[in-house]
Formats: sequence, structure tokens, C-alpha cells
Amino acid sequence: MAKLVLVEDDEVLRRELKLLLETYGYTCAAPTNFTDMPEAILREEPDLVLLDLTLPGKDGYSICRELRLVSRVPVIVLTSRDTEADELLSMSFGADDFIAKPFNRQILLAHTAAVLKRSGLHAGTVTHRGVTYDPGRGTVSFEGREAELTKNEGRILSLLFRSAGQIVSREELMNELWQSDEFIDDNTLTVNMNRLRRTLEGIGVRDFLTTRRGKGYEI
Amino acid sequence: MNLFRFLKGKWLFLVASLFTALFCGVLLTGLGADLYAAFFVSGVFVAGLFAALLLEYLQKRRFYQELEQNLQAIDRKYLLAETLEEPDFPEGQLCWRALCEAGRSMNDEIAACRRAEEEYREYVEVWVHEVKTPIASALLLAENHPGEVSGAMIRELRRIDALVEQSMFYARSRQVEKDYLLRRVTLGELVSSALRRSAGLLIESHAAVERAGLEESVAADPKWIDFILSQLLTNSVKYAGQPLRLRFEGRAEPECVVLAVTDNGPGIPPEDLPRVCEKGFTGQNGRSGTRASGMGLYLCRVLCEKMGMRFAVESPPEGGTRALICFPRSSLIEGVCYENVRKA
Repeated sequence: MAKLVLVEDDEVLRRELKLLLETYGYTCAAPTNFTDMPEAILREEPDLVLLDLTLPGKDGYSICRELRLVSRVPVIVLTSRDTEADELLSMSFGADDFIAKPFNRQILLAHTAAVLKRSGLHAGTVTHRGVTYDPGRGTVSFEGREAELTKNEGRILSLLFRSAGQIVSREELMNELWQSDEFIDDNTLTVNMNRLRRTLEGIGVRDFLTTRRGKGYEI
Repeated sequence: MNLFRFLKGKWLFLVASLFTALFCGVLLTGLGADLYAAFFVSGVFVAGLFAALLLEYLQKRRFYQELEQNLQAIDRKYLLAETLEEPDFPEGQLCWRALCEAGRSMNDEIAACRRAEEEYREYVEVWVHEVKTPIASALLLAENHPGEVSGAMIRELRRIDALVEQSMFYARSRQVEKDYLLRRVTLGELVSSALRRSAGLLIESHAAVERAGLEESVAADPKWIDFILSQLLTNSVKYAGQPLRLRFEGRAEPECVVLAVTDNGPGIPPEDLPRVCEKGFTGQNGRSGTRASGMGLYLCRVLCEKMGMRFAVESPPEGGTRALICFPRSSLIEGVCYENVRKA
């Protein structure tokens, strides 16, 4: 699983972000001392850096620029200053992506996954209860049988795999799709879920995707 | 300033002088002078008097006429003294110096107000950025530790965030200098970004989104448009019945590109329509049921105008509310553009 370094000075936000990222299977280091940046980041050899811009001492921009001099590790900037000028500035200092505070977890996870995918670090397959999902090829396989997924089915499955063992609400699933510019409504989600079920049954997967009435879905 | 008004101002002097001339004439005659001589002396006196007055009038006329004309012509009246040259007669000089002094003091006052407003705006801007971190923490706390009230808490936090955002854009809308950044972007990207941002709210309202003709590209600050569209979406969610239907439609006009956002809400009563974009205006919809602040559409209009765009709201005959944002193809022809928005 990918390793992230989270550079955030607000204690609560740092703790909750770390918890969130670890829940979704990432390894996450969160330094609490910001004096020896960016060396502290580099020591962790991360696959991705989540960087707050307003830090005590050296600000995020300088850290980002210094990081760029020695490393090509992808950087996502977390900031409450979300003007167009700030975004351009971040990009010019070598950041790969920009997330405005406050964000919900779909936005954070979607951006994290997208940046990792772009840097070619996260094309790996995930397996849960014998079912393997390959996000790179957009396929799902079970006991040697394989099926192709539509884009939306893939997105739904990737969120379900990320939250394996937890209930995912319909709202969360729709939000995940909306974050990928698929602005579907309730009916379309139902159609997509039914199609995904049939696809899974087609390769012999039964009782994998369960409906929790009034709450959502779980694998 | 004309001759008649000038002489009117001198009536006491004139009456006194004419009386003196008359008195001298009568006195001279009484002392045995020749009637012709008495008349001549008085006549010379009066002629000299009028010649002096005429010279004085000509001297003052230039200054006072310029004063009147410039006062009419300029916008900021307190700058009047700067448009005038110092006159060469004592009363004028006094008046001119007073004007200069008043203007200077006004300028100082205005500069102080501007500075105070700018400082306040900067403070709001800093405060907004500060408060975003605790909001972000609270949101994550609610999401990470699901409980009975998490859903409601998340909704309330989103409302707080929206209000905080509004206060920042209000501060920006009052700023004199431009602090936006225009960029080439398609209508589709602008709409998608706004939908992503308001996803939570819209999904909860079971919104069905329709998009058409959004390939056209425009020059806009995407962050500002994000805010404007989120105001419109919040309004739609607030007033429209469920299920909410939203339609985003782009249309290319000769001079501008129009983005129309239509919902299936109750629409706006015709008597409210001309005033919905005024600050603090809450129409019938805003007073019944959900409370309105009267800031949303006002800010939409002001921010659009700052970026050289036009903003209009209408109630189409088929029902609902439609907001129109008109992006000029060139800033030179935005006036023409607005007419097309109204006609369309």
C-alpha cells in the first residue's frame, strides 16, 4: 500500500486525517516537528506528500520548492487559501494537486487516489474475500473468471473495496461518482448497482455485495 | 455669474453712490453752480463708478464662471479646488484657499476610511482562512466517528462553511482593486466544479442534473464562478420542491456566451423579480417558510459585474427560476451583451 506523509500543524486535523488515511489502507506518517523540512519528509521515502501551506516557520510553498529540487514525489497541497492565484502559485512551486479546506473524505480520497494513479504508483490490484479488483485494467476476477466493468461500476467497486468491512451509504457512493464528474441521480445509482451485482454473479460471486436496508451497501 | 447678479450683489454700494451723486448735484446747484456743471460732475462720478464696477466684474467673472462650470462637470465635488487656478482678487483668494483646505481634509478623511476598510477586509480574509481549519477538523471528526448526530452535524458544518465563504466574498465584492484572475475555461468545467463542491447538498435533495451545450469556453475566475453557482444551487435547494431538477445550458450569442441555470422551484413572483438582486431584498419566497438573508443574489450580481459579466434572474413561463450569467467575448461590448441576455 502507498505510503503518505502528512504535513499539517493543526493537531486535531492531523490526527483525524491520519486516522482517515489509515482506515482506507494507506500507511501514513505525520511529523509534528516542522523545523527540518523537507528533510523529514524525504527520510520517510513517501509515495505522496499531503502538505498544508500555513505552517509555523517555513511555509508550505518553500517546502514544496525545496522538495522539488531533490525529489519528484507527488505533492497535494491542503489549504484554506483557495483563490485562483493561490492555486497557480502552488502549481508553480511544483505541487501536483490542490485541495481546499474544508474537504470531505470523498474529495480527499478521490484526489489522493487520482494523484497516486497518475504517478503510476497505485495501479495495484486489491483482493477482498477472494474477489480481485484491478483498477488499472478496470476488471474484476474471481476463481479464474474475469469480467470487465464499466467506468461507473469500477468507481463504485473501488469505493466499496476501500471501505471493505464498513457500510457505505448511497449518498457516499453518489458523492464518489460526482467527484469523478458523473452527476448521476438515485435511479441511475440503482441501475448501476444492479448491473454491478449481475456482473459479479456472472463470474460466480454470490452474497458478496450486501444491502443494508436504509443504511447502504457493504462488502 | 452674470452682470445682473453681480450688480444685484452690489446694490447697497450702488444705491449709496447714486444717492451721493444725486446729493452732490443738488448741493452744487444749491451753492449756485451752473446746472450743467452740477450735472456734469455727477455724471463723471457715476461713469467712473460704473467703469470701475465693470472692470471688477470682468476680473471676477472668469473665476466664478469656471467655478460654476467645473462644479457641474466633475463627479467628486470635493476635488473642485484642484480644477481652479488661484484668482487674483482677495475675496476669490479667500474662497479658493478655503476650498483647497476643505478638499484636502476630505481627501485625508477618504484615505483614512479606505485604509480602515482595507484593513477590515484583510482581517476578514485572514479570519476566514483561520476558521476553515477548525471547520475542516470538525467535518472530519463527524465523518470519522459516525454516530447518531454525525449526518446532522455534517450538514450544519457545511452551512457554516457556506456562510463563512459568503462573508469573504462580501468583503471581496467591496474591494476597489480587482483581485480576481480571469482564465480561459469551458462552461462544462465551471459547472462540474460547482457540482462537485455542492455534491453533498444536492445528493441529499435528490437532485437530477441535466447539462447541455457547455462546450463553449469563456474568460472567468473559476473560484468566483464556483461561489456564484453555489449560491444559485443553495437557493434552488432551499426553495425548490423535491425531487429537484437542475438544468445547465450554454448558449453562444454573437457578443457573449450565456450560461443559464434553471430549476423546477416555485419561481419568483413578477413583482419581486426586478428587485431580487438588490442587497437585503427578501421577496415573498424569502419571507414565507425559509428565511432569506437577501445577500446571495446580490453578491452574484456584484461579483459578476466586477468581472465584467452580466447577471440576470428571470421566471420562465414554464415555471421555475432561471439565472443567466453572460460572459462577454470582449470586455468592450459587454453593454450590448446585456441587452441580448434580457431579450433571450
